[in-house]
Amino acid sequence: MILSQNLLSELLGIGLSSGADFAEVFAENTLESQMTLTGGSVESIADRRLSGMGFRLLKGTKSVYASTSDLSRSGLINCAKSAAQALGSLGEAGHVVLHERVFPDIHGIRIVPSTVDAADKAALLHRAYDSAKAYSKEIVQAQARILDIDRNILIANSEGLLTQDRQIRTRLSVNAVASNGSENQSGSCAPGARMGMELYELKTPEMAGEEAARQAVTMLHAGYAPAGNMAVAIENGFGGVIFHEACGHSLEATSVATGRSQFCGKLGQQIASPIVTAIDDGTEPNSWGSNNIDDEGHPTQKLVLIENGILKNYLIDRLGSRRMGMPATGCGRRQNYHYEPTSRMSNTYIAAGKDDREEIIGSMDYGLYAAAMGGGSVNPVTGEFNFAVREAYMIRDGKIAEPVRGATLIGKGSEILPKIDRISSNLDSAQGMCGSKSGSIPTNVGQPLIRVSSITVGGR
Amino acid sequence: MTFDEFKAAVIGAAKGLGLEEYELYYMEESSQSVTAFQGDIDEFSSEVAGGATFRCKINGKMGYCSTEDFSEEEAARIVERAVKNASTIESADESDIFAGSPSYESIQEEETVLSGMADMSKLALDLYEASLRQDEKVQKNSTASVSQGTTVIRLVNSAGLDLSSKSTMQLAMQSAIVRQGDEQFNSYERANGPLKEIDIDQTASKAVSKAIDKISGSPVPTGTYPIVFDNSCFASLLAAFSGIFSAKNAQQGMSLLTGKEGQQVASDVVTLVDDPFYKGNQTAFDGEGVATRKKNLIENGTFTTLLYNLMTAKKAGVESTGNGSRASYDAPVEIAPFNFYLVPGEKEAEALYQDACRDGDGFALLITELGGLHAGLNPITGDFSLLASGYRLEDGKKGTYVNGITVSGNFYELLKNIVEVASDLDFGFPRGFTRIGSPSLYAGKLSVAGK
Repeated sequence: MILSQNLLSELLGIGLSSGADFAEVFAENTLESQMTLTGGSVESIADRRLSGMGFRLLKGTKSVYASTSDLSRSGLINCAKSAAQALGSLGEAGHVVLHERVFPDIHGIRIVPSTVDAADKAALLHRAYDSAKAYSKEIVQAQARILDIDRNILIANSEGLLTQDRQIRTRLSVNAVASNGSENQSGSCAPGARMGMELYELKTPEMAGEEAARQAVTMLHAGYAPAGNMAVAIENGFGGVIFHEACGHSLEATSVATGRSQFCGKLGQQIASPIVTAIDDGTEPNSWGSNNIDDEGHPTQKLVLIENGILKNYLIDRLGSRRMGMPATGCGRRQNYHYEPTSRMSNTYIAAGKDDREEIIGSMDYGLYAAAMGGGSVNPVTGEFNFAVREAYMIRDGKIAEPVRGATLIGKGSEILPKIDRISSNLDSAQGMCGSKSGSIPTNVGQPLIRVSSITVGGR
Repeated sequence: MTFDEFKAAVIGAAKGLGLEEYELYYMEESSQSVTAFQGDIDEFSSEVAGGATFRCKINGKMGYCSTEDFSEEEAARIVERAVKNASTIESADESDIFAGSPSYESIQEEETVLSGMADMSKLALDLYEASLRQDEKVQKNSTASVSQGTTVIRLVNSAGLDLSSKSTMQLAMQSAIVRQGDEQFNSYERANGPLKEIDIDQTASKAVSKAIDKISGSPVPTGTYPIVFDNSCFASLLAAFSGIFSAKNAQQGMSLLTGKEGQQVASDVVTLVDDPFYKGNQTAFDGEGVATRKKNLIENGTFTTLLYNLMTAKKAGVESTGNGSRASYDAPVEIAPFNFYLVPGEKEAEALYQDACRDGDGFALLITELGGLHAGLNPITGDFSLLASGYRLEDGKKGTYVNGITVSGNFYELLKNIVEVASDLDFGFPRGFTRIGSPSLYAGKLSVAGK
């Protein structure tokens, strides 16, 4: 255990001594390693240990958070005292009785990354690089990076909970640059999972390298996307970022509980087209955004956010639960112990529909086909979102026509959700890093191909 | 154990393995912040974080390992891991453990006196209340926050270098939410410390008036418009593209500035500077211990130099520009500027509005916010297509609010098309040691998607 049970009880007791009604210790010991290969040779290895404690107190809806990398007894006690003093003067410290719980681990790991030799990791990077370079003479540069994280967390709180979890994740990202001498275009592919190195048997480095290269070369031969309003078909997988930005963030208690979301007070109301059902599922075995427990010690859940267009649930963390008077949903997450946890997404997707993918594209006279999406962002207060399209094509007379580059999609969540008018059946997910108040965390986005009847496309 | 004890243990372990070239880089950050919400201090936070990176050079290859755990066993472990990592590096690009520059600029900056929690809380509450007083549309779920922090750096190596620095920062931020009917609009305003010098009413008023302007926002028709970027907005675009000035990106074919030294890459009103000694964010040595210096990257439109660290300088056969950068204690040595800004011109920003309108039959756009800067642009190609908002400019005057549009173009082309640069230089919030600034500028015509 990262900290002894006696010391944990003592820290929680100090926390409660100035009037807090809840105290929590989050201790972490994480090993992270990232190897980067550029231009055919391994260029750098980042190899780090994160080690520290985050200490949280709640009094009603007031929160105090203190963190320290000093895990000595005095460092920890100073941290707990400084947090308690922010609420009032220290009283007599009680002793919190803790009962250890072990939650089931549903994410089996066959090849623990730290057991794999560096030379074998380097070999995977070479395979990805070689396949990107082999794709076309136009590929002038490629970079491959392999990341593995072994995160060990301990949570103890004044309700008596004491539990631990070990979370292993791996990811390979490949970036390729295509050039014709005067212009450059890039492509990327970055599969990841809450899995060990066995991931690369399912998603081979060759697949990732070739996909990144294909995207770069395709975009090198593309003209600029037109600007204006048009119908858009958004492909499955990372296309799900549209739901993540246009709606997901606005359903987090971080925004909802403080009255800063366009979807406040809309539970039970129709907020999307009746064909839209959307789910956040932190329990999917081995998925990139999954966990056994959240960073507050709640088991993760499969939560229906929208069912047939009707808003069913918000994503609620412990503090959000107090502010909203509703139960927490197992979604309190944080990048690491430096951050206070808050409501976050895990694996979020629009459920499969009934329409045929080819038939949807065939139904469009003119529009944009967004084959691969890039990242995006949203202002949850207004719902205004934006995201980049990495690989796009024009649709003309029901057929996918010439590739176009530089397209951005913008809009307002509450206005876009009702415009999703067709949903196909080819549900798939992809991996991303989501940034918010509690840092950058792994999340999956997903959807089948969808059609949006009209959206503003930024191009030129 | 303290850093000095840990340092001794690490050096002991390195010598024990017979290492000759090594370095230990230490960073300790402590910070506090408070947030006012619904009339009360609703969040307190404090952080003490210390971490170190050991790196060593073996057979020309550099291996790294970082930790936050300062114990005897960990000292031995990070040295062993760094040795192992060095043996896996294949790249022939060589870096050095630096013996030191002949001299270092002495930093004369006055140290900010940190505030107590009570003073920080009072300022946050005063700012919060001041924002509510500005207008009845301001909502109680607006927030005001105040934060401060200290960063201590120590760099010790086998070549005898032992450098240290300490810096502090304070800032206040007002996030205002206003309501009209069923709709809410938000904006924020940041005031960089010292806290005792922050003008509460002015900060609150700026945040609120920006949020109120947004109530009447609407898109303009899709088309091509003369575009003025305001200072903070262009600074954010410059920040997003700052990587094109890195010698590492250039050497890897990821920047179109490769080999363009001495050529015209921007219009002649553009002079771009990196000044490590600019007031408010002064740094005497970089992440490798090299003395920092001021230099022009673009001089009246002509590209003069990339930014180099030791490795890229060695490869190019030039001197390091003192831009070796470590974004955090555990980040590898990359390249970044310090105070990186476009040199301001003579005119007031308002004079640019008139010139832009003249080119657009009496109509132009002033862009004050850009969204999706992490995704909607491609630093390799220079292409950008970004969510934007700002104001209509009609006959040289600032008009109604514009939102729901995108502005698209190419950064390399934009640099060449800049018509005028105003006098209102302003810096964005520092990220690590980097602060990026710009005056407002008239960028010529760009493509806009709207209604």
